[in-house]
Amino acid sequence: MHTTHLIHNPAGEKGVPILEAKEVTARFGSREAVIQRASFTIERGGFVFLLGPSGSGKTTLLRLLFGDIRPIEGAVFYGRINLRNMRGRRMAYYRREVSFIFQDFKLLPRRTVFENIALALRVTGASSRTIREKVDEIIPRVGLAHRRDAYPSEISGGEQQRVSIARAMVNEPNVLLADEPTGNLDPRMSTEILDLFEKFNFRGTTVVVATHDAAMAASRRQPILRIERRRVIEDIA
Amino acid sequence: MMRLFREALLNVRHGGVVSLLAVVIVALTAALFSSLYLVRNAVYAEAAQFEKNAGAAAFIMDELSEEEVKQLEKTILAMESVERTHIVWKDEALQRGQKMFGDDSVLMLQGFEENPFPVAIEAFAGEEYRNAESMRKMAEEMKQLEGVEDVVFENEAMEQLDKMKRVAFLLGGLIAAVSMVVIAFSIMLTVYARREEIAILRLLGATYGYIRIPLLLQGLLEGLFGSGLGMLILYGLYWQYGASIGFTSFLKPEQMGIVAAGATLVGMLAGMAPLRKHIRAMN
Repeated sequence: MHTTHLIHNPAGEKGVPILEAKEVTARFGSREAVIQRASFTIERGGFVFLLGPSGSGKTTLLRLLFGDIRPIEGAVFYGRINLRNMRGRRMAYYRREVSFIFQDFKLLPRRTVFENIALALRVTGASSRTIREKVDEIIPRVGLAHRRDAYPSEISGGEQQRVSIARAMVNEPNVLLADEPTGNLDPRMSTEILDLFEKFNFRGTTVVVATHDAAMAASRRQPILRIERRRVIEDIA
Repeated sequence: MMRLFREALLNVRHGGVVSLLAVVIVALTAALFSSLYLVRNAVYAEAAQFEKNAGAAAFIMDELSEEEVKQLEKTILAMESVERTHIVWKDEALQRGQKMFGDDSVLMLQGFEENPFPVAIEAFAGEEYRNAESMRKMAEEMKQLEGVEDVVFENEAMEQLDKMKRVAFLLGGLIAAVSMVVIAFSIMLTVYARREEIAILRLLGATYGYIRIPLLLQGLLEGLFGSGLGMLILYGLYWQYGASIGFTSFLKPEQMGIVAAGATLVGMLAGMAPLRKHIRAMN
């Protein structure tokens, strides 16, 4: 398994910026800027909601933080590293430290729950034994022990979401970026998923959850980054 | 490396019907190409037999003594394009004539008091000169020699043979190109079918090599399996029907190697090609 770390994330070292946007302007799939001159800081070990209505630019902002799109102005930093300077192998390593949970789950239909989760470890070159141990450890934590060998088409939307969470968390990333992770789930399932994120956060992972559900974000008493008219406003709860 | 090979094998397995189809298409294309190779071998074997005796005959003036004829033969043998010579003395020429014309030879020889067949020197061309152009040059050179009355060679047959070889070469080239395109496209399709998976791997932190090497190996395996299967199919057909349609030997090992190596190489390149843009764009 590859052990190179772009930055170290020792548990308990809170309050230090882990992701930072400085005067970032970005567009995605349009001529107009979706995000304009956004500046904010996400602290190590923090739990932040990114709140805004549909189409407000939440996904664009998450993808900026993930290094999947580049800002047309400004810069995004991971620790002290400017994402603009991160390419090739370094970007691959970055994505092992910063995981993304996609709105549409992005599971491979021909692979079982186990194999889908294992994929995140396989790309790091982990041994079969490590993969088996880690995947078998995380599967019960996300409540999928009985679905280990099922294919995505055989499980519910909520279960698919939990597979994608397990895949994002299995290699213990420093940061977890989740794009509308409760968007398609009922309230009970949404609560379960957020509880799961809080458990990961308690273990030291920085969590950023994009949502349009203001009530849900408010109920968790966590810092909120609000997107309003292409601007990002820090709203400390 | 073993891990990457395992990964490539998994890719082929997960490719399902698309991978299976690609292997079948490669197999059929390799079988078709190899069967033409087999036909080409048979044609070339026939041509080689004909070319082995390719030569020109110089008819010698009657006035030359036996010693002078032998001297002339030495001069002809010294020519660069000539590999070997043979003097057809008057008696042998008569025998050949009688054999060639059979009963008609009696009628043909009526009125001649002496053997009318002239002495001839047959000159056989070296391997690299067995073509119409070189043969014509050789004949002209022989014609210039003192004591030579006339020179004949099988001009038309040589030209036909040359033409046939050129056509076979062009046709072979065309079929090789078509085969390469078919193999390349079928393998590109198997990789293209995995584009979503590749995008996910990229987002999970897979490196350039982690994505690319198994793709390359997948193309290699599909090319290798396909061409192997194709030659196995062809060998089955050859074993069953080869003798009845006049084939005496199967492809030589090096020719099978060329087909397999060609399909494998094309497969490998095709395995990389469709996603070059995607992978290169990887941040």
